[in-house]
Amino acid sequence: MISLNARNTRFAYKLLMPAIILTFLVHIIPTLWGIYISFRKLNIYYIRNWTEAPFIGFANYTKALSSLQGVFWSSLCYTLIFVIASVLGCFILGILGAVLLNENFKGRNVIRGILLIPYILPGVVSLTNLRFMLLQDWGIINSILLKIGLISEPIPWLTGKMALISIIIGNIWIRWPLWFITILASLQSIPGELYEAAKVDGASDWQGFRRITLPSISPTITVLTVLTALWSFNNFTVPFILTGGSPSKEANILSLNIWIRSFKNWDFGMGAAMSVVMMLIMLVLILTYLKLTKLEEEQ
Amino acid sequence: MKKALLVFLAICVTGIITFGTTIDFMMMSGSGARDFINEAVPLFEKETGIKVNVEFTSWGEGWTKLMAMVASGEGPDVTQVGTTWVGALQATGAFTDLTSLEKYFGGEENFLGGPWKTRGYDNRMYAVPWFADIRALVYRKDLMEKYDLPNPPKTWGDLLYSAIFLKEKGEMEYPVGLRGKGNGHYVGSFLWQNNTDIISEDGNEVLLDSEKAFESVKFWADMLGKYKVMSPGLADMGHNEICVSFFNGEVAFMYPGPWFVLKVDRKVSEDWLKSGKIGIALQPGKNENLRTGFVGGSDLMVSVESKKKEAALKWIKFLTRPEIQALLAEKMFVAPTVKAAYQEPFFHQEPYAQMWEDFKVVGDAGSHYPIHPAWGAMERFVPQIIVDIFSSNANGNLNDEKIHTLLKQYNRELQDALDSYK
Repeated sequence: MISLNARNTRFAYKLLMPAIILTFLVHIIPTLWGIYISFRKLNIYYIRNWTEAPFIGFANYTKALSSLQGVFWSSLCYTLIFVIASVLGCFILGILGAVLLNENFKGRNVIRGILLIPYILPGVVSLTNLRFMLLQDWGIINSILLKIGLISEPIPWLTGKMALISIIIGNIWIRWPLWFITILASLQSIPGELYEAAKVDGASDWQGFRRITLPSISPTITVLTVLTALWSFNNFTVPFILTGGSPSKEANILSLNIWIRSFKNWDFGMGAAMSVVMMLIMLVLILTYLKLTKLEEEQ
Repeated sequence: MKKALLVFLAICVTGIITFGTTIDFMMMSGSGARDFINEAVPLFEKETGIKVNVEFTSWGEGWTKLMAMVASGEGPDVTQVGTTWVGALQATGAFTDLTSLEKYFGGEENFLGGPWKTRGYDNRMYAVPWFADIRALVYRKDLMEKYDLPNPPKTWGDLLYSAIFLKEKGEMEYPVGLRGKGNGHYVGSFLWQNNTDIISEDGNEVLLDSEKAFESVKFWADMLGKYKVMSPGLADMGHNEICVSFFNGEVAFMYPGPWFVLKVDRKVSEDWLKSGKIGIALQPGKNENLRTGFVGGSDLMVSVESKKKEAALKWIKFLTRPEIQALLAEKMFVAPTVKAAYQEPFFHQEPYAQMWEDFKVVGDAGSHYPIHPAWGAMERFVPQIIVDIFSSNANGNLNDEKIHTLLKQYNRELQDALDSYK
C-alpha cells in the first residue's frame, strides 16, 4: 500500500516535471553546448558543418584573456561598475520611494501607479524613449538643461565615459520600481505597534528606521540585491538599445561584448569562451554573497 | 531546327514546373522597399505564375538571420545581401555557385563595373548585383556660389577651407555632417582619399597601421576636435537626422546616397534640386586625383538548399531587368546596377536627371571594400574606429597619440580576423 506521503511526493514530481524538462532544454543543454563549442574554432567558415570545427583546446580562453583581446578585461571592469552602481541606485531610490509612499497622503495611489510605468512598459519601449531623450543635439534633456542655463554645451550622454553613466541610469530607471514596490509591500507588513513602542521608549525617527525598518526589510533587500546584480551582470537590452549596438569602450559591458563577438563577428567559439568565463565569475559572486549573508544571519 | 525545338520544349517544361510555385524572398526594409514589392511582385506573379513570399527584415537583423540560415540550412530561397557580406557568405558554402549562369544574367557587359566586382571572390559568381548604394559628396552648391568657394570642393583643403569659412560667416555652426555611429563606409572612403586601403592588394595584410591611414583619420578627427566643423552630436546621429539637418540649413556637406531626397518631404527636396541649391560630386581627396566615392549596395544570393532554384533564378532575372531596376530606383532612390536601366525615362525626368547623372559618375569612379572571405568578420571593427574617435573627443583625450593607439589596436584586431580565415 502506498503511503500518503509517497503519493504526495510522486504527485509533486509530476507537477515539477514540465519545468524540469524545460530547464534542461532551455538552460542545461545550451549551457553544456556552449562549453563544448568554447573549445572549438567555430567561426563563420565552420558554422555550416559545425561538427568539423577543429578542437583547439583552451585557445579561445587564452585569446579572450590575453592582451590581444584586452577588451575583455576593460569590459569586465566596466561591467562591475555598471552592476555595483545599478544596485546602489536601485537600493537608494527603492527605499526612498517606498518609505515616502508608505505615508498617508492624498494622491498616493496615483503616484504609486505612475512610478511603476517604467517597469510595466516593455524595456525596449522605455529605453528607446530614454535614448531619444539623451541624444546630444536633438534630445530633450540637453535642450532643457541648456534652456535653464545649467549647462553651456550639450552633454554627450551616449558617447565616451558618459555612455556608461547613461546605461547605469537606464538600468536603474527600468529596475527601481520593482525595488520600491517590493520594499513597500515589506514595509506594510511591519506591525505599527513596533514603531509606537519605540516612540514610547524615546526612539527618534532615524533610530526607528535603523532598528525596526531596516532589519525587517533586509531579507527583501538581500533577494533584490542578488536578483538585480544578476540581471545587471548579464544585461544586454540596456546597453544595446542605448548605444545602438556600437558602444564606446566604457559602455561595452560583457554581455554586449559577447554578443558582438558571436553574432557580429560570427566567432562563436570565442563568444562561448567569454560566456563561460562570465558564468564562472557570476557563480563566484553569487556564492560569495550567499555565504556572506548566511554568516550574517548566523551571527 | 531540332535544337530550337529542344530549347522551346525546355522553356515550356521549366515554365510548367515553376508555374504555381511559391518562393521565399528576404528583403531588407528601407524607405520605399514595401512600395516596390507591392508593385513588382504582382507583375512577376502575373507574368510567371510564381508566387513570391516576401519577408522584410532590418539590416541589423538581416546578418543574424543569415547566420541562422547558414547554420540550419533553412531559410529563404533568395536573399538580399549587402555587397560587403558576399565574400563571407560565399565562404560558408550555404549559397549557390552561379558562375555557370553569368550569361543568363547578361554577363559583365550588362552590369556597371563596380557592382559587377561584388559578385564573389576568385572569379566566381555567387551573388547577382541588384542595386548600388553610391555615397557621394552632397553639398550646398548655392552657398559655394554665394561666397565664391571651391565648387565642388575637390581636395581636403577645399573642404576644410569652405567649412571653416561657412562657420565663420555664421551660416552654420557645424557645416560637415558625417555620420558618427554604425557606419564604417566612411573609413574606407577616408583611406581611398589618401591612396591607401584597409587591406593590401594581395589580401594578406591590414594597412591601418600606416602613415597614410593615420593621415586620413587625423584629417577627419581634426574636423571634429581641432577645427570644430563637425558636431560632436553626430556621434548618435543616423543618416535621417543628418539629411534633415542638411535641409534645415544646419549642414552643408554630407556623404549620403541618392536616397537623401526621401528623408524629407519630397516637395522640399525637389524644390532644392530645381533651384540648384544642391551639388553632387566625388568626395574630396587629399589631392584632386584622389577624389572618390563609396560604392556599396545589395546583391541577390540563392540558398544552396533551395528546392525551387529555377523559380528563384527567374525572380532574380526579373529584378535585374532595366524597367524593374527603374521601378526600384523610383521607389527607393537607389542606383541601378544594370547599365541599360539608365536609359529608362525615370532617370531623365526633372528634377532628378542631373542628380542621377552625378551619382553615376561617382559610382564609376568610386571604390568598394574587398570581396574577401574574411571581410564579414572584419567589417564590424571598422565603424568602431569612428565611435572611438567620437568617444575620445567627448572624453577630452583626442590627440595624435590616441589616433595612433587606436589604429594600432584595430590593425591587430583586423589582422587577427583576417588570419582566422587561413
